[in-house]
Formats: sequence, structure tokens, C-alpha cells
Amino acid sequence: MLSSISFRVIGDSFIDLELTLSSNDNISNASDNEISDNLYQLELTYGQYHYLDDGLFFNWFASLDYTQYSSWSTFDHVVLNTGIELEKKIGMGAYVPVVGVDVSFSNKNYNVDIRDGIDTAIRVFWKKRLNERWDTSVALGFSQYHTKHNIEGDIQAPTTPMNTLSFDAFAVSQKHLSANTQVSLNEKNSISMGVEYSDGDITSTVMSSSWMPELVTARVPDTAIGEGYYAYRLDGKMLSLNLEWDYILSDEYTFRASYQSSNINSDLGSYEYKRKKISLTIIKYF
Amino acid sequence: MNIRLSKLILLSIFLQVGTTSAAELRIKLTKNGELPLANAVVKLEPRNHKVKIVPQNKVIDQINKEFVPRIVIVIQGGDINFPNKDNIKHHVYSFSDAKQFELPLYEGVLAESVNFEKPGVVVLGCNIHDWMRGYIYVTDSPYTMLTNREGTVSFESLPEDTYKLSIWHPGLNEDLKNMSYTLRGEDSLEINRDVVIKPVVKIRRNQNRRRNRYD
Repeated sequence: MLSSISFRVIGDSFIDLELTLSSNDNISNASDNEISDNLYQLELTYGQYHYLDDGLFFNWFASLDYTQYSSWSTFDHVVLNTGIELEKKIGMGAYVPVVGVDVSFSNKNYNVDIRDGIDTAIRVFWKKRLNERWDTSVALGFSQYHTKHNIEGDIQAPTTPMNTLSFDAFAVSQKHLSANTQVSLNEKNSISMGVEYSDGDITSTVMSSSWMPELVTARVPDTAIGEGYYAYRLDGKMLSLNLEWDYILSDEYTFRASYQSSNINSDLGSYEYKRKKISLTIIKYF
Repeated sequence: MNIRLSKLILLSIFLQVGTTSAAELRIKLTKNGELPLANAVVKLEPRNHKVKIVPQNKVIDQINKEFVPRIVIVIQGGDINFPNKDNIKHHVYSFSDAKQFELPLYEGVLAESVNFEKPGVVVLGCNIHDWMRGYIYVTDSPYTMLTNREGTVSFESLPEDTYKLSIWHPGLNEDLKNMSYTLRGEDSLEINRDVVIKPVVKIRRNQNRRRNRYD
């Protein structure tokens, strides 16, 4: 089939610049003594769409993202993202289903390097525009975060018998199932609603006195937060709800307000933490 | 003989006046009770007299990933060429009953035009850029025009007749096809009509440019 595809393509490129102000009520993913902070994020993205043939698209992007925390500068980070996507229209027209696969890589470097790592994600998706107002999509994915540094620091567990535990508490892998729908209210306003269910590793940072040794699969002192805090990795599940409102200011600018609420539960025991994030974004399309 | 000749001359003058009468019909459209409705198709169909239609060729460009102009009237039997003036490819198609066609992946000017034989509305799309929408109104009446920016259209030199008036616009929320007006002699008729237009909801250009991260 691929031999019949014309690879003489003309790309349709885009450059986006996003400036975001966010409030995250639990940056440490803690079950108690949560740390909240405001974040300022600047992200520049370049991408290209290529129409190959027969409803087949190849897209790629690269972005550079800098996030600064208002109080917790130890969490400031730079992310270099890149991703590719192959999608296929099943039929012709604006309302036919589209199936596809995308792969993305994110290289994250934090001010305090304990969280530094590379995030790899792969996803298969199905999407369909129901009419001029409604879009819907479903995706199934897998993501894995590889930390860059072997932590050999203070590994004294607060209780035994955890000496055989890994220190790689930020190295996580998760399976994801998500569904999203978007409705255009009029030519300027649209609302997007999404739900995502994730199953895999979760990481939470708490005071060493708060942890539950029977639940964790890795632990490490969380030097980004401070003495006495440990990051623990557990098996768990996460349910996230997303709500976005886009307002088109002009052909070149869009304002976005978004709300994300996540509930994270361990598979064993009753360990639970929650996170809410509110963001305001200005997007500039070049 | 002279009386006969005089009668013939009078009859001839009467017929001439009858056939050269030049009525005028001016239509002004507003949308939703306020703004002028531009780019609406206004069509007059004479009930009694036939008018020879002469197909014309038209051009619909693709500029900045839009069809330009967005609404085009073509006389039945006319051709339309679809030059691509963007520096990317387009894939023009239509599924409409009045004309189904496809111009797969091309750049520049196509040598061949598309012929439109059947009256009706042809909705254009691009299989790459889903937001692109264009409309071709294929008409069997030469009395078919688009309203201007002020929402008006003027038909001049209309022969005396009864005309069926139809109005079409992609956002029109009502059936405006069966209005009749009789024009006599030098009639000059002005019609003001307010129509209900649905809010325009176009597929957005910039949506979902990149949404594949798990945050």
C-alpha cells in the first residue's frame, strides 16, 4: 500500500506561541500538606502538516516550553517536545472518521534535577466531526517517563523493610484512555470537555511520616521540596476531567481558559490525592 | 386600404410598446431585522416568456485556504475553473446532487474546468482543509444575481410578466422560493424583505493543532 503513496508532499506549516498563567493546588501530588503555586508558561511550537495521498496525513511538531513557578523555583523547568503523527481519513469530506497514531517525546529539565527525564508517549486515536459544531475523539495510549539521574543520595527509608526498593520514584509508566468532545457555540466561542482514565504508576511527595510502606514501589528524597519529604511511587489509577473554553480574539489570537481536576487513587489501600489546575492562555498563531 | 394600414400601424406600435416595456425590480434584503444581507442569491423566473440562457464560464480561486469568491452563480451549462493560488495542495470535491466531482491533490491552474449542467446548489469542500466551504448556485434563469454589500439587487429592463422570486443563502433558515410578483409596463417595484439567518458556525481553522500530550 505504501508503495502507491506519493511522497512528494507540500507541507502546511504553523507556528504557535502560547503564554499561560496557571494555578495548581497540588504541585507535589500530596495527599495532605499540599503545596499550591502559580505557574507562568511560555511555549513556542513549530509544526508541519503533510498531505500524502488518499486521505493520509503526516504531521510533526517541535516545541520549546519554559515554565516558571511563582514560589517554588525548584520546579522551574524547560521542556523540549517533539512528535509525529500519522492519520488517515476513512473516506472523503469533513465528516468522515479519522484514525491515527502519534508518538511524542519530551525532554524535561528541572531547576532541581531530581525530576529530569524523558517522557515518551504513543497513542492511537479515532476522531470524528459530527457536524459543523461538534467534534469528538477517543484515544488509547501508553506513556513512559524515564528519569535521567540515578539517585544515590539519602536513601534511608523511614521504616523498614524497604531497602530493596528502587529509588526511581519519578520513573512511571501509564496506560491511558481518553475521550474528548468539542462544541463550537458560535464563530468565536467553543467549549471542549474531556475525560481521561490512566492506569499505572503514580508519584506522590509527602512527609516521611505520612507514607505507607506497604503501598510503594519506589521512593526517593524529594530535594525539590525540602528536607523530610519523600517522593513515593505507587500503583494507582487517575481520573482527570478537563474543561476548556476558547474565545477567538482574531485570526491570530485565541484566549483559552481551562480547568482540570484529577483524582488519583492507589490500587492498594486507600491512598488518595487530588489536584486542580486552572489556566488562562493567550495563543498567538503566526 | 388606408384604414387597414392605419390599424396595422397602430397594432404594430401597441406590440412594440408591449415587448419593449422595461419594468424594474429592486430587492433589498436584511438579515435578522438589522444588517444588510450580502451575497444572497436572488432569482427571478418569468412565468410566461422564455429567455435564452447563455452559459458563462466562471473562476473560483483558492486563496489562503478559502474559496474566493465563496458564493458564485453560474448559468446552467457553464464551466468553472478552480485555480489553486496557495503554495500548498488542495483537494476540491462536492457531494451535492446538482454536481458530484473531485479534483484530487493539485497545485496551480488546472487545464480542465468543471461543467455544471443541473440547476441547484453545489457545496464545495477541500478534503485537506475541512473548514473550506464554497457554494455554486447553478441557475436556469438569466435573472439571477447576488446581493451587494448593501443587501440590494436590481433587475432592470424586465419584460412584462409574472415572476417567481426565490432567495437562497447558505445560512437561510426559511424556505423563500414561492413568492410571485407581476410587473407591468414601466413598473418600478421595490421589495424590502427581512430574512432569518442562522448563526454562522464554520469549522474552525486553528483547532486541535497539537493536542497529544499527557500532562
